[in-house]
Amino acid sequence: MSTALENLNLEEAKSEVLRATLAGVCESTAVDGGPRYSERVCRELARIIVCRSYAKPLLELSHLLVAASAGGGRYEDVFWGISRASAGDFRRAFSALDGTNPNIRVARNGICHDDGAEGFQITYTRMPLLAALLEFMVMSVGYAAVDDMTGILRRADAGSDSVIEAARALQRSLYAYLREHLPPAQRQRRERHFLVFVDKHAGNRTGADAISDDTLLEYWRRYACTEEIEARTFRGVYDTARRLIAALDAAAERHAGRHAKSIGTDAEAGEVDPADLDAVISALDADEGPLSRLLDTCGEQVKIINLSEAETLGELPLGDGTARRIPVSVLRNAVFGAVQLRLSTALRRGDAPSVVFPSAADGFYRQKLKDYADIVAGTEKIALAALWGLHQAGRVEAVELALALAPDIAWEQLSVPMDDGDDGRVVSLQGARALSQFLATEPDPRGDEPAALLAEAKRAWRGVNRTGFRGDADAESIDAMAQAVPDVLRLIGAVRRTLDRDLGPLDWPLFETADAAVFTAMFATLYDLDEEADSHAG
Amino acid sequence: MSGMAVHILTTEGPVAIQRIIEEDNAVQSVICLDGLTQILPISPHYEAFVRRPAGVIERMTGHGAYRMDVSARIDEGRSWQLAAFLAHAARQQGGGQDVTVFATGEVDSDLAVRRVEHVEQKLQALTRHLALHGGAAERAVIMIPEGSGVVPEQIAGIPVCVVADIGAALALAELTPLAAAPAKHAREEKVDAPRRRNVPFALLIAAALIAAALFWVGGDFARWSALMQQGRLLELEQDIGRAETDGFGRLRAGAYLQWLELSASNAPAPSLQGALFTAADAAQCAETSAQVKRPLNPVYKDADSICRVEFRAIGDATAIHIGRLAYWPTGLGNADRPSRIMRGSQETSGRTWVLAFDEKPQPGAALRLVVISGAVDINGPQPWYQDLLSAPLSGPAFDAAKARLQRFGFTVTALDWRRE
Amino acid sequence: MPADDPVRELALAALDADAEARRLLEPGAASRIAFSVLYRFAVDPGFELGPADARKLAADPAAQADLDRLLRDNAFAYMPRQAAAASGSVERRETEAAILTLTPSKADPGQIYLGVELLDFEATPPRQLFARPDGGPWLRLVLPAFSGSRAQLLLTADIDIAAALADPKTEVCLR
Repeated sequence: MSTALENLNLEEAKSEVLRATLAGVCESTAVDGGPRYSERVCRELARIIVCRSYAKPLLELSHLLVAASAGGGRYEDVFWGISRASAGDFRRAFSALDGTNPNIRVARNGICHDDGAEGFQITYTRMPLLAALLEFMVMSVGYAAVDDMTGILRRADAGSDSVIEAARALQRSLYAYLREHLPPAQRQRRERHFLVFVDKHAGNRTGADAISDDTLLEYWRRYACTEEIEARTFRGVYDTARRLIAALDAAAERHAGRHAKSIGTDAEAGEVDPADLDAVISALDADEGPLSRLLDTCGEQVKIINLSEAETLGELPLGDGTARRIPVSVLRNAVFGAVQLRLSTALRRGDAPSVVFPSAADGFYRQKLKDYADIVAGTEKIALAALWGLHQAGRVEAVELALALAPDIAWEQLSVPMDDGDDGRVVSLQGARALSQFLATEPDPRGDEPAALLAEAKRAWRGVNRTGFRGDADAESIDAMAQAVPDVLRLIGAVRRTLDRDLGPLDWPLFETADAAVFTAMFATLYDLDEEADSHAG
Repeated sequence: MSGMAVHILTTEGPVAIQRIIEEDNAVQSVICLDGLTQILPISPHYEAFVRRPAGVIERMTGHGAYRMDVSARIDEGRSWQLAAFLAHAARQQGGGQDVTVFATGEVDSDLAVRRVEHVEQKLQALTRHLALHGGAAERAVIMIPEGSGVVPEQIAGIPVCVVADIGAALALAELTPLAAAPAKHAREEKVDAPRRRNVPFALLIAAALIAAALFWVGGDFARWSALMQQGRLLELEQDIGRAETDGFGRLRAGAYLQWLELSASNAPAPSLQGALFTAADAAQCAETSAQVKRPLNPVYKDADSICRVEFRAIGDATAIHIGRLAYWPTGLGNADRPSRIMRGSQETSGRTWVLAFDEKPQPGAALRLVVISGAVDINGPQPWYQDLLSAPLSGPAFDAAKARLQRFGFTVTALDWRRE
Repeated sequence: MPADDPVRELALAALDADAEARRLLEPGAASRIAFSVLYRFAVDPGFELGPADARKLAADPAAQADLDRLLRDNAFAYMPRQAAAASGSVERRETEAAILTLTPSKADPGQIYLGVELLDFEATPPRQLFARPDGGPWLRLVLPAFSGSRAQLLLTADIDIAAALADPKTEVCLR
């Protein structure tokens, strides 16, 4: 590494050290050879570094170090003694420490540090990021320095004051390190160029609302063939627009929320608050959306969504306001963005492009919408099947699923009637009793609604031939299913909302006719194709 | 080869003790693999075996740290101790005689040899090893502790000897007993003395021992051969049993049995055939012309009466085939004794049994035919027939009876029939 | 939207930072050895430092310093390099916790016995021995199971760690 650094100037060299350190963290492996930290954790860590939004995470980390040092143990053994930095591994590690420190309470979802003040909770799902941050700190600032700064946290009486002191020391050292090693971010030229164009055509619309389907298409048609800016692909322009919409929406929300500025930010001088920056970048991370969270949660354990379905649904911008602002561009990207990709790939390989261009008669946008609808209907069936698996395993998540999948059921059938004198009866839903009644309900297609729902769920279970759903699901699959319930429901909800609200009420045949002509002409120009011949190719 | 070669018996085959070297007393004794730096996991046990106060080697040699190299891994247990002690003793006595020792056994602090596990498997592994690699030395002995269960008397000509203590083991290995063993410093003094004077004396002793052995072996051989020729098998068995109560007797008996095995003919077992003669009812059995001959299958389920049965044992003409046919009306072994026992008649190359039933076989009746083939006709009492004619073919009693005869070079063939 | 609109500025700053974060995560030519690798090397006798990681460690003084601290902190016994006046080869190293001895084998002059004797009978025995010759990397030896308070290895005298243990300038850790 030192030789490579010699070839860079000083600034570049320091930046390269930072990059190499971050790469070292993200490339580190678990005991089984897989990645120690997930891609999402690595992106979050990079975000914290770039935005310098480390204040809160370092405070959390300081609390966590108190818990990890409980009972006189070594925090290193917790953070690096586990095989992989996952929520599950941390849960197991802290369960083993339960009872060793009266100020640390180990719960089902995380730990709670009674620091003598208000107490502090950290969920297990947060811990992988904090572990990555600690490893980055150790590798950048030095193990000895981190060990010394956090020594105060290993005292038996470590409370709120100790935590704040340690967190501040860590912040100061990281600040100093980043000041040395983190160069200023380069200004993104494409976004700025596009935004200038949008401003000129926005009329009286502002912010993300100024970006429209017409503006986007016009921008592409104007600049695709120029050297002024890289805008050759429709997909590239669409992605730029999408990122801008997400950033502007998040920035507007952040601005409107009037969050307290971080101490030290000089807004007058144009400094951007790290917390604001972090919040907006989070919104940009497509992998925060319900689809990727679901894929992350289930992994290979339970195939609620398979790869092909994920690829198709990935065309829908579920986590931001894109579909609301540029609905036609969403489908233009899905259909013609893919066509252009095939074209350019073929040309790059040196093949004669024989791509079939969609024609108006194909109903390509409507077919796409049908594809999305079919997938979400299938996902609902899988969710119904999961209801059966969870019900049989006695999991409380079965109730959440049941309520979401069948909100119209008269759930009060499960409630316990209370005798309220002679005037009638007061019926109330007692949660725990209702839960156990639901879990004890036998499936019966001719029975009451909960029973009929379960019968349907059982039938769905038998009809699903996917990993995690075959035969008797094992404990790990059930766990994965349970964890996936919120993400599945969010995904179904997000897709349905996008299809119904954003993409539904449009005159798609009209767009199909117009776009077929526009895109065919553009591709012919861009790739020097015979327009007539290629539109009927294949 | 000069000096004693010692092998530890293991379930994976014999492991040679390659060398024993004194190490610095500060070092713990180790057992290493084949001269490499790999210290075997049993080394702490070896250390305890060597060093005082618990260890017995230092008591013998006066030195408390050794390195022993062995040819293959020994992973657990203490059954290597007997072989290790003998190897140390041989080393102490200048290498010992040209004897190959295979040993297994634990040695306690009183120098008693204690029982160990898996002796049978270790002997089987040795058998396979010797079959593959040969090397059955002229002077070799296999030593096992008491209580090792039923073991063969010899393996590839090497006698299997039970030893109760180190004294017996040293004697079998032709080493000087411990009490007479020169002390370390005394041995060192003798190192300077010329050794040539000891050599002819040792030769004389060996020659005398060999001559005595030959005398004793020769006398037994003659007597046993005579008994065998007369077919007095039970007497022969009893005489050999008496001889096996001491070590040399075991050697003699083993040698004789080995000779028997080598001189036994390798004729194949006889083939057994049978036929049933049936009639529509018992009355018609009186008319030979009314009888129908059928091949004999192991089970008869038909309704016809069985008038008679015939068996033939057809074997090699160089062997003599004898045997018995037993009829059990209510099932094999379901009475004190069979209701009929037929000796059959000798044929040119076999034997025939014909049994005409007075009491016709009913459902549940059984027949057992046993044929014993060998070099001579067996005379005198033959108690083995009791199990051979009544015990299930696949059971231990039948096997044990069969083994008694096989030991003397006879083969046993049997056949069952029953009516359902 | 005016160019100095705070929402616009925040959005563009976020996009710039996002692009920078992506650039930081791009796979590049070099990465440093992760601390988790150093930790595993220090505590797990079954873990071998691969050649790529060994090279990274050799080129990274900061990582070496981290490993030094990891090894020395919470070591069962730490034996620093011996006094400057010491010369010749070392046959014995001793702390309050353990004694190391080196004894040449009489059976094979090319082999040497390493004895480890624990002075605290109730302590959990160490599983590894680390030795660092002067100016060199940490060498590691996995210790066998202790029998009582003693363990013994037989080493080839010419291997790195045997030579290092005999060198008074070598520091030794038992973990």
